[in-house]
Amino acid sequence: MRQIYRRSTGMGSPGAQKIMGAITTGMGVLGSLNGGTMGIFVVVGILTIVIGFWSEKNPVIVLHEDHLEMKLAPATARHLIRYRDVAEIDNRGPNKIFLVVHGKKIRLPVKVLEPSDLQLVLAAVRDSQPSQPAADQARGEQE
Amino acid sequence: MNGLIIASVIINGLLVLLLGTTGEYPAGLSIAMGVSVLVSLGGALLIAAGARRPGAILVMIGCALFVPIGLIGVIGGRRVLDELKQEAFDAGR
Repeated sequence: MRQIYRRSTGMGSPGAQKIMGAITTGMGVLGSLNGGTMGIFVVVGILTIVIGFWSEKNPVIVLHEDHLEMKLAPATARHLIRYRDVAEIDNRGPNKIFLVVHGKKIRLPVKVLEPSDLQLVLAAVRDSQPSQPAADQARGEQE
Repeated sequence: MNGLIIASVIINGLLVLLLGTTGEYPAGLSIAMGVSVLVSLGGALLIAAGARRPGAILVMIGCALFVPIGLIGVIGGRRVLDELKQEAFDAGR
């Protein structure tokens, strides 16, 4: 099992989320002290800080022996993908890479991963794909 | 049922009580928020009764009106759905 975390630099990094959260909270507190109704800023800021800590603690992708699991944020769905179910890796550009699973396209979070980690994920999926003759043979045996 | 859902229903309920008693906000808003709390409470009860999927969806719908603080309930509901997904995935091996 290998855990892959968010990249540590850039706007989507946990550090940046915490800084943005702190700034938003500060704005909310200052605004409220000056008689404004900026409580919403405090709530949003605190939630952003919490999400920053969550991102730091939880991996974006976990590579298991036969499948990978992917969860980008606390409120988003967890994707569980068996390597053998990946029909195709659809590479549509540097930031748009999809895994085609049962006809459904699942986008890989390219922007939040280090390039080396992305290669690791792609290698894990590719390496567990049956070679074309082996896949044809398996299909033939099933029929 | 997880603690996030319970906490969210309590926080949202308290918010409705707070808004309802100040009288500064239109009655329609208080009613809409009250209905949302009832929807999420119904979802929480459904989860407790064993109907986890419809319950989690109801909790998420009920908490959506309270975002950003309602995000707590949305995360709780999502966690229940993720658990169900994991169980179905493990059963399909």
